Amino acid sequence: MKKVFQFVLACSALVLSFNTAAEPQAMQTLERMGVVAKQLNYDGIFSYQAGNKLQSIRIIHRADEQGEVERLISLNGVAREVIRTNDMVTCIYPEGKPVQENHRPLGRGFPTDFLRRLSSAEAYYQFSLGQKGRVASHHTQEIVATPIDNYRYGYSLWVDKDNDLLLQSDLLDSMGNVLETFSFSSVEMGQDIPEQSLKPEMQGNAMSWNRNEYGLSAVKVTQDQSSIWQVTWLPKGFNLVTQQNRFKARNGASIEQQVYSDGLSSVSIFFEKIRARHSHLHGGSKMGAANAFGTIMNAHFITVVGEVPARTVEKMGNSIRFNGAE
Amino acid sequence: MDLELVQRVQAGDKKAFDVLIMKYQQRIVHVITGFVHDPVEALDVAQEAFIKAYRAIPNFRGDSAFYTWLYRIAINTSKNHLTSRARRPPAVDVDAMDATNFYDAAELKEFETPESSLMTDELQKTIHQAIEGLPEDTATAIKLRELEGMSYEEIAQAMECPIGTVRSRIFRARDAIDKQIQEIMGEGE
Amino acid sequence: MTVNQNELLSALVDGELQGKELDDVLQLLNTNEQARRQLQRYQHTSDLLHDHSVSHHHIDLTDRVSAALDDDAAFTTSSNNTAQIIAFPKHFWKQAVSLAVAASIGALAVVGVMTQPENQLIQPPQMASVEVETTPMVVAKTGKRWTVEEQEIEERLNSYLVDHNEYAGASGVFSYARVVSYDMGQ
Repeated sequence: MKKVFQFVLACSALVLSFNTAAEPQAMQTLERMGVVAKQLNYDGIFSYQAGNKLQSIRIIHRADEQGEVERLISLNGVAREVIRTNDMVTCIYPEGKPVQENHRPLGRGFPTDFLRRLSSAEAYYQFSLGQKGRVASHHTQEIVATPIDNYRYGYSLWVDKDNDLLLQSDLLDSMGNVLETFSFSSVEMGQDIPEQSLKPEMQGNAMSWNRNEYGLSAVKVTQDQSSIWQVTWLPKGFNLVTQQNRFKARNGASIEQQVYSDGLSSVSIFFEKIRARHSHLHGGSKMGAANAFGTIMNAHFITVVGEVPARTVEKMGNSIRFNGAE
Repeated sequence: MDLELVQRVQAGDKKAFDVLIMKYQQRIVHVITGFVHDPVEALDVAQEAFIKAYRAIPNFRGDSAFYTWLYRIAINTSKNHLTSRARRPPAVDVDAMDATNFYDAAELKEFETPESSLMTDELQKTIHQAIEGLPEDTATAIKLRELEGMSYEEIAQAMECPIGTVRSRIFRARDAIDKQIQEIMGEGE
Repeated sequence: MTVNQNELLSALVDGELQGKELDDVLQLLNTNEQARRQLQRYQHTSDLLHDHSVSHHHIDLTDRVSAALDDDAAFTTSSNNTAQIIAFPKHFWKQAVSLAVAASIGALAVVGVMTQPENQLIQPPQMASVEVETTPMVVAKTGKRWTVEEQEIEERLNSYLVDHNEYAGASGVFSYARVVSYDMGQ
């Protein structure tokens, strides 16, 4: 385990070494943070807050010779448990509730590819040390990620000073207002986690899959030649990281989703062929930390969505060109 | 911590904003000096940052601490200053498209002279020695406030004394420390 | 400067003054240069104890900032223009099991956070030709619902947002939290 830890640390040092504009100490802290989240045992409750939404989740994480096991339990709202054992993910819903076909309830897989994504992002954010503070009664060091332009938001990351675990993450607009916060309200770190703590307690319908089957590349992918859409403007550093045609809207239309990211910030663009008259977003809208922009082009509803400023989704939306046959 | 002051500024009290400037200007100037280096220029940028903060303060919602919000404004103002400085006819040709990202890596390093670093060390040592020389209750009160970040109310509960006593002890600690520092800095009344 | 005045300045550094005492101190600082220097010395000590990097030279930007702002109109107390400061209860982030967390949502309601903002579309942003923001953006009040008129559009956007966060979220655990929280509204 120690050798694995050292190897990962060495790799991450290589990955991060070419950034000369960031404060070294800030980058070192982030590097340790990424590794620790995989290696450390911890059990805590964190809250997600954006606008007036509040979601509380308990997370239990254990790492040992067999790898990682993680259990997430939603404490309010829709009941749900997710257990991840290395790459196997099991999602449990209450009995009677339809099983959602969400194959990535853990999103892009924090913290597994955090360091790799960070290496993509560091050219587009300035990472610096901020203040000292306290989160969940633990002393923390703030790392500030200030974006290089106004097309993306910044971050304030509060890292536990003793264990380097990320305890709070704030998404910030250009005026420093907090758009979204993830914050531990209580957490215990470094303790033994008994097997029983990682067993699901919810009775219900379970679905399991190997998340590598739905693997998401965090690196740039070449645009599928069959896509008839081209986004001609992107913020500096944004690359296409996913493109797929998996979804079916209620009316049977397939929807193409393209995901663009700079490593930290992400934007999705949805292209849905118009099959029936229904209402669609025209122009901008906002909820919590997310902005959306809608338009219609060549008999398709186009929606741009992401946790980026409104100007970004609008400019991307307006830059879309149709390459298909008329 | 600065909630009441900020609310007063939002209600139109400019004197309250002066206090916020007095509280945070040293830190803000230091942050900005990390970008612009020249001390005179840093003061200009700091002035601009405070002006922006004053104009934006109606939009401050209190989601973060006031200083955190101000710090962001200072960082953005510094970056914009560097960007606009880069757009003036440069000694070396800079591609216009890259102008917004033209950052000399050296400019972004933490800028602390050896002299100021030594001064910080000496001052911190003096402060800690002064605290150790205080009566126990006084030393405890200032430590709980400054090192643990507790409010007066929390300290009063911890030390089982009235809030007024906490305030008085912390003041006496600061006063004693201030006298020691004045000897080093050479400032007099 | 009296001992009592210095004590007030010390309490001001800690943000522990309200009401009349705060009025008195603001008045003192407005008229007494010695008081201003004393405040800054106490603040300097506090900064050093917190290990904040500070300039050691005496600086006073208040006059020049004040002169530059002299032409600005004073802020009004109009609620249309002034953001409400959200004062989270002190124990908001304390440890909680699920029932207590539900109670904390009630605490949010008490301080007025749950007030539904009026739906409004955001203004089209200024399309700056360079990446420097010179005027503040008009930002719609954020809330727990999309700023759209029709439920059908809202549902569609929620669905897109869930898909977006599954595949593009900044981090797995955080994406999970976002996804689950959006489900709450459905």
